[in-house]
This record gives sequence, C-alpha cells and structure tokens, in this order.
Amino acid sequence: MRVLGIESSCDDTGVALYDSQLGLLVHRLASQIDTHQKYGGVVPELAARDHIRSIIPLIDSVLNNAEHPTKKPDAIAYTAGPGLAGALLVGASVGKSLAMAWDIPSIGVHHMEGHLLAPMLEADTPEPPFVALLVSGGHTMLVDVEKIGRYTVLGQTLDDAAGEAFDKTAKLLGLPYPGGPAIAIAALNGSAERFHFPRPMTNRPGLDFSFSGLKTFARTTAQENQLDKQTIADIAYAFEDAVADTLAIKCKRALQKTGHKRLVIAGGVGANRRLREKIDALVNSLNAKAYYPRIEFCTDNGAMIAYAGYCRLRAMGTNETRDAKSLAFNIQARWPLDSLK
Amino acid sequence: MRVLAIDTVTEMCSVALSVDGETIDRQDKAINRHSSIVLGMVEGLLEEAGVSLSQLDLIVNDVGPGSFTGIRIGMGVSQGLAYGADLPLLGVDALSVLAQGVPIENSKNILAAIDARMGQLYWAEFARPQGSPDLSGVLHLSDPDKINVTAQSIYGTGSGWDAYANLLQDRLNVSGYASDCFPLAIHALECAGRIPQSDWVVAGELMPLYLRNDVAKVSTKSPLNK
Repeated sequence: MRVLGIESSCDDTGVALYDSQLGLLVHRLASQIDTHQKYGGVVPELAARDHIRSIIPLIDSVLNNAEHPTKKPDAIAYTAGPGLAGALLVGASVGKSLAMAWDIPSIGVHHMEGHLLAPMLEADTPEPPFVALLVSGGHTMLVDVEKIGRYTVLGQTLDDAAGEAFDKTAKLLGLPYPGGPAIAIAALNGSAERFHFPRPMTNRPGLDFSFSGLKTFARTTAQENQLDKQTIADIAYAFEDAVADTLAIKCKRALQKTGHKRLVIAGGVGANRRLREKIDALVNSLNAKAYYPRIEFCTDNGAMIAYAGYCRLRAMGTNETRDAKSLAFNIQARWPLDSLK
Repeated sequence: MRVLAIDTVTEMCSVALSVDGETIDRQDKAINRHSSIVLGMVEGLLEEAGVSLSQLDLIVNDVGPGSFTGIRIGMGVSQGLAYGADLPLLGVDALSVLAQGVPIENSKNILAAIDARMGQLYWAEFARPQGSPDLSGVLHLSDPDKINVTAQSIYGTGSGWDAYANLLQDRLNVSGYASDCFPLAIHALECAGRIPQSDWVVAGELMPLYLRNDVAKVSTKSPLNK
C-alpha cells in the first residue's frame, strides 16, 4: 500500500509518500518561517494562506519524484487535528477531494500520533511499550504508548508549550523566530554560572509541566540587567538549561512510574542538543534507551502523517473503513490524544 | 461542455453542474458545515447527471471575496478534484457571481455588496445595458460610507445590504435591494460562460481573491515592557 501523507496543522506544509513494502519514498516541506518571522510567532490566517498556495505544487512534486513517480497512491492520510482550524482545513479539503477524484480511501490522522510514530521511520525502531515525550511549539506532553493506537497521557503542560516559551523568550531577548534554534545558538556563548532559572513543578510529584513562569523569569532577568550580547547569551543559556533539565526530570519520573525501558523524544524541541545530552545521560543512568527521529522529522512533516495513516488503515475493521470513504472532511482543532482508540 | 461549479465563500454552500446546456444545482445554507457537505453535494450532482468527474471539461470556483475559510474550502476542494481528475480550473469573483443572480427586470445598474465584517463591505458596481452584468471599475473593500457609484440609480444585492441598507439608501439613489441573496454556483457557471478559455488554469495556479490583506500587524512595542 502506498500512502500520500499531508500535514498542514500549523506553519509547515508537509507532503510525503510512504510505501508499506519500500518504506518512505519521498518527503517534501514548504516552511513558512519567512512569513511569520517578523511577527515573532505564527499568524493563523497567514499560515492558512500559505498552505493553500503551496499544497498542490508540493503534492505534484512529491508524486512526480524522480525515483518513484506515482500517478495515484492507494490511500491518503491528512492531519485532521489538533492544530489551527484554518490551516487544518486546507490539508483536509485537498486530501478528501483528491481521494474522491482518485476513488481511494482517505483518513484524518491525529497530529500527535504522527509525532509519536515518527521514530518508526528510522532503521532502529522502538518496540512498544515505551514512554514518549512530545515537545513542540504547540504541545508538551508525556505519553505512555502501550501499543500503536493505545495512548495514555501521563502529564502535559498547564500553560505554555516548551517551544512556545522558547519563541516568547527569544522575542524578548531580540532573537529571531523560531526561538528554539536562536536560543540554542546564543546559549553556546553563555555562562553556566551567571544566572540560575527555576525548574518549574519539579519540587512536587506529578508529570505535568508549566513554562509560563520561566518565560516571566527570563523577562524579569532581562529587565534587571543591561541587555548586551553577553547577557543575552547568559540568559539564553540559563533558560535553555532550565527547560531541558525540567523535561529530563519529568522523563525520568515517567520511566520510573511506567517501568518502561524505552523513551521516544518527538516534536520540534526534541531537536535541541542540550535536551538530547540530558536525555542520553538520563537513559544511561536508568539502563534504558532513547530514540530520536531524525531532526527533520522532529518538526512537522508529511512523512509521519503518511506512516500514521498507513498504520490506521492497516488496523481498520470493516465498520471503520466506511469513514475512509466518507466525503466529509471534518477537522478537530482540539482533539485529546487519549480519546483515540 | 460539461462544467462543475463550486461556491463556498459565504454561509451558502452551493454546487452546480452543466452538461451540454442542461444545468442542475444544489444549495444549502450551511453555516460552518461546508466541509461536511460540499463533496457529498458534488457527488450527488454527478450521480444525478450520470457523469463521472473525469468526463468533465472544467471546474469553476468562486475564489472570493468572502469568508477567508470559505474561500479556502472551495479552493481546496476544486483544486483537489481538478488535480486528481486532471481538469482545468477557472476562478470567478464572488461579486460578479452575486450580480449575475439579479433578475434582469430588476435593474440596469447593480451594487453587489458582501458583508466583510469589521464595519466594512466588499463591493462592486455593475452595469447591464442588456444581458449579463459588466463590472464597472474594480472590486473594492471599504467602509460603507466610502462607497461611490457612477450610475444615477442602483439596485442592491447581497449580505452587505443586510447591515447597511439604511446608510446606503441615505447616500445613494437605490431603486430596491435584496439582502438575502448569496453568490451561487449556478450563477458562477453563467459567469464562466463569458470568460475565454485562455483564462483557464491548472490546479495549483488558481488564485484566491481575499481583497483584505492587512490581516496581521507587526508589534512595535518592546516585548520587555509588557
């Protein structure tokens, strides 16, 4: 089965082809960083406008790739939520309409399930059960993956997502968007000694996160100091260290609580090097193993949606297959991960 | 000629199919339900006419102005269908489609206006000496009290006449108006009939017509002083 995957939930248009025999054939991305950069964050209406402009040319280039040109896939998977409603509707409307024209099944995929399954596209895949940390600009959560399709949210952020805190802190330090890479680069010249930021919600039990206080702490620190290049680097260092540390502490608790020995790190913040160093040290100490998708699959992409769609279609019973033939393309801007069956 | 038209830019969701001069259509005033029903409506028309998508010659799509999300649902659907079935596309604007729907006996001059929210209207003036309305000038987005027309007397159509009828009647010589009119796919088909084939495009080249483009502001305030 060859599945065309379409991702348009936020600020990246991603399209990919996954083949159940051959694996991932091709994936392409139209990034919107240039569109949103001057606003310091994603503008939903502009995101949707970019998606509708990019999506057909991107699909065309994926299908007409040099190595595996594909006139018509066997199925289509598109992100149906959670995400920005206007952005989601672009991928959903195009995905469903293509499926109708080609007379093939199509399926709406949960964006976070896509991220959870992204490591499955690598050579060394994690066998469930495992713990997954999903950490991006829109989400921060720890998930117990008992098997594919069966997820229990162990904890999540009560306010800002970690990636959002990176963006907002970068903005107040005068660093460019997206904030994650910008802060990581600035932090390379930062001192570990000058500032120490709190590790929110680590002094009490539980697996929930809170990052808005950390952002406020960064603002207060910035206001109290002359914001020269070194101070920016030092604040970036302290902030990044606090976020990475906090995430690692909660991962440790999640592994201990579930007894699982495998940890998957997914989502855009999963590309952060400091976080990976701390996670590697953690799994070593627990005799566990960490799995990371390749950097380009940490952020939003069509490959993970194609793969998650393939898994869903493969597992479908006759009743559910009816949904794959339905012509309605309803999206769910809010869609709890543990409501999946 | 076999032509399918799709219009989702207002609260009215409509599709129309013309097969060798015979036209059938579906309309549903489906606020926030367009994504649930529009493809089913298309399928219903194709079944009724006994034609398949790949047997069509053209897909016509109303590309706005109107609801931003509505514009993109129509574009997503028409481009998905056109790409999959390898068909050309033609975009028509919502105000021309709206004017096309005004019965010929009503007026020689038309002011089509769609509520653009934020106290503004999408509007355009049309002259119809006979037959079909011709656009006079360009499409506008403005406050209702900035509307100026060239005709002595005009007939109004569209949702813009719902909220601003009194204001417009004070300013203009209005012979009558109908505010419960929407751009409809069946009228988009008629508009498309007057547009040369050289304007047809392939999927991916269809352009939306938002008119309102200042949808985001760059903050000049320092984030440190919030």
